[in-house]
Amino acid sequence: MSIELRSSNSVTSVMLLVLLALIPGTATYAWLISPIVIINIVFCVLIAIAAEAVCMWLRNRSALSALSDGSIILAATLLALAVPPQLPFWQLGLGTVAMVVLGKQLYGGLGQNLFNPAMVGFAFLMVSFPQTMTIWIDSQQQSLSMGELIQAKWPLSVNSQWDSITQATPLESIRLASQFAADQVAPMTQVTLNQYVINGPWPVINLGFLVGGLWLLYKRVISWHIPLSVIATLFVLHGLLSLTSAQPQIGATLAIASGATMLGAFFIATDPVTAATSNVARVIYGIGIGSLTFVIREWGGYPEGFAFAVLLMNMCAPLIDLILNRYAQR
Amino acid sequence: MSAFRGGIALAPNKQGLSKPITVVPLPSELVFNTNKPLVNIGDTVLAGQNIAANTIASTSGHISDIQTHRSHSTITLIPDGESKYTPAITNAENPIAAIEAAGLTGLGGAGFSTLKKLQSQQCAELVTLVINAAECEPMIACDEALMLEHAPQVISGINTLMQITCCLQCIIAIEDTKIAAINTIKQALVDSANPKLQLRVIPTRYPGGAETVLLRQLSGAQLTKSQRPADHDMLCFNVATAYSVHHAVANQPIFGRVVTIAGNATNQPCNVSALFGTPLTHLLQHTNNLPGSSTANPPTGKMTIKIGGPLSGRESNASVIDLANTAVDPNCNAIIIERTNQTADEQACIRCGNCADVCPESLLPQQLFRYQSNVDKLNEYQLLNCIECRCCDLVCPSAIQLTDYFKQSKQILQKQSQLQVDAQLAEARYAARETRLVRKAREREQELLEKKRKVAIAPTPAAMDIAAALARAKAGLIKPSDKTS
Repeated sequence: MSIELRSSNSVTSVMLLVLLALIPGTATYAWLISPIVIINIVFCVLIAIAAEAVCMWLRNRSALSALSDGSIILAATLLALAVPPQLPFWQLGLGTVAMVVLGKQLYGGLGQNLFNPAMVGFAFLMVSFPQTMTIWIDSQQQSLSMGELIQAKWPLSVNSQWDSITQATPLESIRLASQFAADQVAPMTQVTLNQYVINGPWPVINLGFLVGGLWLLYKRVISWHIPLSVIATLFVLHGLLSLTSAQPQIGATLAIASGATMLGAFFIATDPVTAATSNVARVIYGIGIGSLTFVIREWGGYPEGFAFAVLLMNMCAPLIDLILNRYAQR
Repeated sequence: MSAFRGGIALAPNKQGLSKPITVVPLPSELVFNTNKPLVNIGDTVLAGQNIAANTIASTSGHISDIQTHRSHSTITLIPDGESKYTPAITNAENPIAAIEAAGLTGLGGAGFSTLKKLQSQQCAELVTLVINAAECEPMIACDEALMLEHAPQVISGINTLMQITCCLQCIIAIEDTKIAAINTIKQALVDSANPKLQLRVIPTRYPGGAETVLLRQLSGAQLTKSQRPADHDMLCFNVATAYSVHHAVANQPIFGRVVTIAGNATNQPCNVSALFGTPLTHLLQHTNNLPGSSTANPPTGKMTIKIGGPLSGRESNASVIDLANTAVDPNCNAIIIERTNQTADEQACIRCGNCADVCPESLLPQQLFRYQSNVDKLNEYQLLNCIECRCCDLVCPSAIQLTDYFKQSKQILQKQSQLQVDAQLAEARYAARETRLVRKAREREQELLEKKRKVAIAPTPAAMDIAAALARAKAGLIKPSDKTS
């Protein structure tokens, strides 16, 4: 095969492009919520590299070849972006090791894993440390400096005094607000709810990830099938809910501008290793993720269901491929 | 004009077209790699004579050597320089007889016998005769060179094919970047004034000239692996075959073809006309392209020589391929000599799906790769429809040579189906043996019964005596009292 005819892309360059595309979203996140996310990313990446190197050594393979493709750096970055920023370091580190070992290496490394490694790490943290995983810094009331925050992340357990500066994830507070609305003297109206979400940092952060995702589409690193079907499904389902519900609901537009929607749709759900493979299958896969995310957000036990939606659809991806291929041959 | 699904727009990179086709002089010996030789050492042969199954002598001379190897035999022919035809060629009176006498083989790459193809469709009145002049693979320019210089003969050959097959129309398909060839063919079409012949310009997109892909973009017909174009009312010939047909029906067949020599390690990329059997060393020496002969460019990097195109060709290291014992044959459309410094290491498949996007046959190469030794899955994902165009290899970010894996997988499937055939044969043999044994046992039983019955019908002499005595006793001839008294 003559090299000249080959297109110049490689796995490493693909991973690098995705990492570059994460910059706008990460920058707005650091600016609007806390710059500590940058430290989290560096921490996660270092732990992940070490864990991967150890695994490759145990498997008697070349650590350098596995690390050079950059896939584990990307996965570690996604995990660091997905968890609450004030998560203690030791928990974050455990999650990262779980991501590398349970999510990737146990299956045989890159390309062999059934589940999205970052989401395996996220789910591991969510079920192990539900308390710390469901409280987020309230940026609108933030009064702590970076130094104090980093210090707060060192102890082995979360100091209860920080509860005063933390709050539930934005989606969780909306859910609580709408549940209590009936009892309150001055119920939260649709207008005040919208105002609350728009004034928060999440629409801007989602916009940042959207910009990066669109750039990936433009560079043809990802195809439109999965992101569009995820976002469209969330939009339609949240829209239907707000039309039919008597209580104030987060509207369709705000729903896709909050939570992990854009990060998930463009950067997590599109992981080709664990997604369905043909274009039609990808659309079905995306609709599945959108629907499950909506169901978990609205009726599930967790405020943000994206990670579990992705993991559930990871399991379905081979089945979708199989069924569609049989159908296509008929 | 509709582009087909998948494929890649590759730069044509036809290097040797600025110069006319040069004729390679007759080499001192011709080499034919074949099996089952029909001649012996010392035999005198004529041009057009069968010297082995599916192999004809490309000129007259005598056989100097026959080497038998494990998988094939190598016949060496020393030409006498007179190029005497067999009587069958000089006496052929109609086109079919002429093509039969010339033993024409298709020059498109599949190496199918032109005669067999024509005989099966003689006056079949199929709708469309397709002349494949697309030549979609980069670097290969032998068909284009032929059309530039011999368009009238090409059209004459096409007219002969039309007469034989009685097709209702003929489509000549050329890629849109071959502007000069399009013009010469257009002019030749005007001159021939046959309204059934039409030119179809197709987009320059690899592998648009692969038979299944070409027929799909011309007519929308979906050929499966087991189908022939005739199943979709079409017949397909390569443009170079049409040129050979023209010469064959003029009772002057040329037992050779145009070969492209190109690649970044050649001194003079060119198109040459060579007899079948011309050793590659002779070809490269004559064109001053023999590897290592150049002093201008100090050799750096790994050199590869490919018989066939840069994508579909057989790749070999120069040391592995025995250039003196490899010769021009009907399928040898190009010799690509390249040097590359870069080597891309194969990485893990990340299932990005780029391969599926470019697959002209709408296969899922990532799935075929994942299930590379799973017979059921390979069949389910239709491995056998793969045309080995290597588009997937070109776009793979992990630099996986998918087509190489698919070739291996195809062998697995072949072995599997062979096993099935063998098993069925064994089963049939067993069943036949069982019935035979049962039949024989029954026959023997029958024989025994027959014998017993014969014994009963035809008694022995002793028994006859007893029977006679008994009869006499009954009749009272001998009285028991007589005996005692």
